[in-house]
Amino acid sequence: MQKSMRRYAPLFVLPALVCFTIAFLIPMIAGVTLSFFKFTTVLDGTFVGVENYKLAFINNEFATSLWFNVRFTIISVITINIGAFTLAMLLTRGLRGTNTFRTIFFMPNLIGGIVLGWIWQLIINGFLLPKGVTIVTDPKYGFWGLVVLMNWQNIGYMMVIYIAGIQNIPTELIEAARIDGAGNRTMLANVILPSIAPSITICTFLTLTSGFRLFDQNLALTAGDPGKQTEMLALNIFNTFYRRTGFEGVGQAKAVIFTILVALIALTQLTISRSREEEA
Amino acid sequence: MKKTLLLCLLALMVVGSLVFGAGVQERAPAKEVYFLNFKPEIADVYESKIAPVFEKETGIKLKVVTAASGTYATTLKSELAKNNPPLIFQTNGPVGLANSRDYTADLSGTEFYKILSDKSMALGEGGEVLAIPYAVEGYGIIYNDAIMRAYFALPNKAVRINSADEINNFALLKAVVEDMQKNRGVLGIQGVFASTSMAAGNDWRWQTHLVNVPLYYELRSKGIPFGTKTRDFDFTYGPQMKNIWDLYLNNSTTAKGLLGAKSVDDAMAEFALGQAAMVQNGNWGASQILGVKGNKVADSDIKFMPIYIGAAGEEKIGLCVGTENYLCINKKVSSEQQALADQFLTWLFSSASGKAFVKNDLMFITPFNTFAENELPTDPLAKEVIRWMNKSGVTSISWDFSVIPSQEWKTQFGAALGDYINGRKNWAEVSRVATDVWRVEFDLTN
Repeated sequence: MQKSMRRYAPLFVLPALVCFTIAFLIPMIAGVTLSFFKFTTVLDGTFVGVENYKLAFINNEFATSLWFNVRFTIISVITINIGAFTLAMLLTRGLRGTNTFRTIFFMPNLIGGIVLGWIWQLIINGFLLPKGVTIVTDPKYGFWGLVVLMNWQNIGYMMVIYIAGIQNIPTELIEAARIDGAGNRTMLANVILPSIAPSITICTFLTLTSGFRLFDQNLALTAGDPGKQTEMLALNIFNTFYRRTGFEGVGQAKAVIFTILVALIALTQLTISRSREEEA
Repeated sequence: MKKTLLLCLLALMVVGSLVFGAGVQERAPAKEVYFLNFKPEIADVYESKIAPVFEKETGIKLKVVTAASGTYATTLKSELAKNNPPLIFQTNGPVGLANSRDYTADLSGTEFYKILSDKSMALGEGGEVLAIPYAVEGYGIIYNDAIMRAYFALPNKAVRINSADEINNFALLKAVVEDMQKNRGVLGIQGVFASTSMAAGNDWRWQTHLVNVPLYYELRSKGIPFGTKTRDFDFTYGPQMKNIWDLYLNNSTTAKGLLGAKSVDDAMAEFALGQAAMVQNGNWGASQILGVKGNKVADSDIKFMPIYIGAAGEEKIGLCVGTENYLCINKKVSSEQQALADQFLTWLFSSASGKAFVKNDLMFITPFNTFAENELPTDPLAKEVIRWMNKSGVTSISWDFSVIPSQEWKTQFGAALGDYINGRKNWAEVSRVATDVWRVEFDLTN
């Protein structure tokens, strides 16, 4: 049995490998290669070396959107996690209608980003109308609009992860702590939070990466307006590639930089959660 | 036996995943012309009116795909890379042509080129004809003459002139507009000018069309002929552009802070519904006025006047007339397919049924010798463009915006205009964007 398994292993791996190669490996390699070319359509181009990478920083546009993106991500990681955790705490107390509320809070996650963007644009513009401004009048409206949208969409999902974490805390632990006279605050700080540490790690990094990869919400809500002042990395790359003729390679170069950035974040997450698992 | 079966199954899986990965390949029917249309406002005419008739008369299918507003370059790029690429596509002038240079076939031998009346209008390179214009267009300030007449009939009007025809410079325009704005309640309008649309993808009326006027004056005063690229744009007529820009903004239907959400469609609808008396746009906007539900403007009241900015001698200028609509035939398709493309274009612009569509539905003013005098379009704006083009003592402003170095310049200039509206930039800073970015972009693209 062992022997035949070994003999057929390559055959069994083959279908998955083929799919992986076609859908991931080849595009990935082609993408990195293309970042060193000047091209219009992806099948013919001329080699230009690192020129594209230089052009990516020709003005501070890329740096501006990186900085905007970093600020946005920090704020939304904090607000989403606090919001999600609070909801999770409320919805694990056995209140009436808990399941209904869980479903309601989770639902925004099922709506597509473009639709959400449009809905929130209407809502926010409606609120701003009496002031005689719109969401694209000032970049700060766009910034907070995006934060609100991101929270609304992600809190439900993170809440589910936190609920799972909280429900996994052994009841004996909680009872013992109560008998030892722990108050609500002590319970939270010394029992609940340490027990759900893995959930916190997962949620933090999930929100972190999705903050950096945000695209459709950004496109639908502000489209980067005013100017390019609410343009995040993904949208900036898209606009460079598609909206600026002759800059396809530059967009590609920006995408490579972007991939490295997100990969670094993901790797950090992996390392941290691995070391935690070993501790546990 | 079992082994064979297993191998067969595995092979099937591999093939299956390959097909899945590669996507289903599109196959073109034998005789089909694929036209990538640029103008969303007339997409429906091609699809529901022209295609069936063309197929009936020639047996050739016509496939029309229309790119959404502002995404033509994007769509063209991805369509050209496909297995069944468009046979006919559009380019907007020398700058656009340079980008699709590898895909444009030589048209000098085509029937389509033969019917072009002024051969110098075609774009080419080194003896090759690469792009042929198909529609001449004009833009300026469209006004509703009924509202203008109502204004000039007011007993308390502050100007001496008696009709909109007499407005022939900026000072007069400003006096009329500001007085009209004061009397907007009596006139039943919300503002003189329709919204200065600044929503994403809707600022081309300013960063391309309006800026063309100062650009035209500057290039001519420097002695640079039409169509010649230049590295230096000094925005010498910047203060004059500020004149008209402020006039648009201060006498509008919409408060400044809300302009960021307004589209060209909104502005055209305001005009059609009689909420505004003037709107800057071109004759292509006719269908947007006539097609609005509840349209309150009579055909005979839709008139054009030139864009006056306060430049010396502007009494003698006319509308901005030119074209950025050129058609190209794809070089990378078979010669049979190129012949089909030629056949379609020649059919559209020279056969009786084709010409009827051009006149009545597409409403193009064409540069082809196949059109007789009575076959010119009859919509009010096209008629006005033709009237201004033939008016004696008046020179049309050419479309010098075709030498703007890149789309990026337009984007950044448009953003600067938006910042000016919301008080984040003053006019000096807007001018600096105009001149500095021009140089950067010129160096990048040349």
